Amino acid sequence: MKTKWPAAVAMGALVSLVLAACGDNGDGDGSGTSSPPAGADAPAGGPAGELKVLTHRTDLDQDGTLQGYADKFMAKYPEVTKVEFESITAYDDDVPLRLSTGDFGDVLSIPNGVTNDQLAQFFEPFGTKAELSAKYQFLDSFSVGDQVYGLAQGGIATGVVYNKKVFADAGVTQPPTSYDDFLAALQAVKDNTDAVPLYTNYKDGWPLGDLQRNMGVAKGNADAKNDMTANDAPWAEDGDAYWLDSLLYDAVDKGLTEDDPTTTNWEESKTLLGTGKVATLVLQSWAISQMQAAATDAGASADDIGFLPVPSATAGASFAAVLGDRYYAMNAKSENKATAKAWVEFMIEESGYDAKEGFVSTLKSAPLPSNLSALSYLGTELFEPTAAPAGAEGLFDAIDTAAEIGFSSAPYRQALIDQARQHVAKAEAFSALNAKWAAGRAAAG
Amino acid sequence: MGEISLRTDNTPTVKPVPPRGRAPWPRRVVSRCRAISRRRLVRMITPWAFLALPLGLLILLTYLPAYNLIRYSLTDWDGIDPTMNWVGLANYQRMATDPALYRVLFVSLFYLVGAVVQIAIALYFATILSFKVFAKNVFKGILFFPYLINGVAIGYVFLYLFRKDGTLDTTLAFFGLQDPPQWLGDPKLINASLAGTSVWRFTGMNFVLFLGAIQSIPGDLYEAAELDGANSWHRFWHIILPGVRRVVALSFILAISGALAVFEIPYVMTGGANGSKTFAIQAVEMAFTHRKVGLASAMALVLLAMVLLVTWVQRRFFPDERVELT
Repeated sequence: MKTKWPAAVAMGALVSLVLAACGDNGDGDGSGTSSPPAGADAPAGGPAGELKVLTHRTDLDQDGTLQGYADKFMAKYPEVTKVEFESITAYDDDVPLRLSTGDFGDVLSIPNGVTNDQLAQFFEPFGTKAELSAKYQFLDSFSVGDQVYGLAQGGIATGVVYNKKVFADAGVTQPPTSYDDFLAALQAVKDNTDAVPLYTNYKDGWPLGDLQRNMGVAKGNADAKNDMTANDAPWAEDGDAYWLDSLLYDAVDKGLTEDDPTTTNWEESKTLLGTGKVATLVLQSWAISQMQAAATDAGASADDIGFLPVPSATAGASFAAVLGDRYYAMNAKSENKATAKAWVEFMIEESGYDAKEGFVSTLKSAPLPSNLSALSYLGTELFEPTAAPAGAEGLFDAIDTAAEIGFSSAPYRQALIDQARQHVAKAEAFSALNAKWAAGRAAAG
Repeated sequence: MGEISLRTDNTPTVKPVPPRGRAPWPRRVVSRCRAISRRRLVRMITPWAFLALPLGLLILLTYLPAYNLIRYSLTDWDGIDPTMNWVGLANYQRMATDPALYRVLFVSLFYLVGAVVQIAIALYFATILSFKVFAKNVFKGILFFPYLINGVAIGYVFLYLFRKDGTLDTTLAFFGLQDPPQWLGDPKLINASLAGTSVWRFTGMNFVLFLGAIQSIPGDLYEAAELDGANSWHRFWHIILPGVRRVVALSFILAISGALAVFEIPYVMTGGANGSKTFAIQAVEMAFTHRKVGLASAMALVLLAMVLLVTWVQRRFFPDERVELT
């Protein structure tokens, strides 16, 4: 009988392990379904019950801003008992892995890495393009055929954030909008001030990946990405990809960027720009408010922060792509879709989130935010990039994957910077990219 | 208890032939048999019951993922899609035919050299600190301490050390060395800098291994050697080194496999940029940037095969012989 006790303990442990595993399973399945199917018995499917939202904005979750929106939402729809937020730091690493499990809340920000031909597997459409386009813009990015799977949380304009004071000190009086003027301005900053003309944010990398949003901006070509899928040499001279990557390549090659790119730091870059130690950062309009805040925190003036369009290929014209920043989507397996949809509509139309972030509103009727006034002053032409044609939604990503370029990834542009620092001829670096792209097209096209 | 009382009960009496329809043996005997078999059953189950937890965890956390890794390596899965297409050995074919995938192994050489330096430093300090030295335990603590720090934290600390006008440059300037190179910015130096960080981090672990082995060498050997007129170099070469040989050999195996699979420090510090990409970083990039989880799984398995091969070759040439010191 002596043996019985330990055996029982061990068996008990085993059982509890199995039970724990079961519990885990239930939970894993659950968060999508954990909300009681209250939406089902609510009258006419009105918003009710519990809602779970996955968000990339850890900062807004921690400082209570999101809870503030949730309170307003629940005040509007008293039937809704709870809005739960799960904010994830490594959003684009973690969430794609959860997609195939179905465990990703009722509403989420669409993570990078999901291709358009996969949308229908995971997400519930908001409606058809025809009915939504009367009210909303930026519908193209996450639409398949006529179905819209993503609504933009807000729009952003491509451009360059710069320190006006540094430009003035360097003797640049006219805001440079063309490619040649811009490089000349950077050179003037280098010659006449101590500031770094252009800071790459090489170490953190994602600002480099985001440069892909400037595709086609130099020439105002809304179809640039679609054209690229039909082109074996997009990096050939005067091509859209050529202009996109030339700015970075030439600036690094001419020594107009920081000395040691490997030790850059994103949080620090905000202060460096605000205090005039860095002249320019190629970012989108969402960065303006953050840069102004950093400038104020560092004891400088928020008024020094300015916004320029991305340098254009030709003098006298300038362009800015306006695109959705992050997109909301609804879980196709959610049992509370009515509430999920109401939440997304509330966030876009009533929460004030877009105004707080300086976003262009997803609502067509809303005016442009004040932080883009410089663009209107410069006569910059705004355009929205065209969506991929029906049947070719995933083509760009498929070619990019097959080519192993990683068009929107950091390592790709870090490698370009590496080459430019070692003064590899631009033509050589770009023709290698052309060869890769052509091979990718052959494999995936 | 039970067994003895049973025997005393049964032996003296000669039972009459039991009437038909009843069990041929007294009930107590039957129950005794049952008790034994149940006990034997319990005895058989007990070790497995104890093992169930660790084995379950081992299967759940090691073998199941490993099985999945093999499965993924035979598909073209992108890491997201619920469906994965069977592609057979195509991923391995790519591994075998694309030299670009192996170019990054060159980077591992830096870490291998670093590991040799690391073993030498660790052995040196372990030898010194195994004798009577001033503030011995303080030095032991100082040497082992870096190993206790989280690798990500070390990455960030060294990032500040290596940056322009950072701690290292300032220190060098204090000693009059102006115009230092870019420790991470220079593609010729970056891997040496990162390997140096790795040495700093892992010396402590080698040190503790060596120290333990050296302390297990009986003290009278040193006395005998001293009587024979051996100096400290002789004592190191003829007593200490043979005594810790197996641990040194183990350290080399760990060093080689570690150099092949190095990931954490370069990933945290540079993300593989500026020519510091290692095989493991390349596999991660393949899986999460280029969305080729199938190919990345194949790369991981090839890396495993390389480590196993190195270990096998190493064991082949340096077989595990018993070390007799006495």
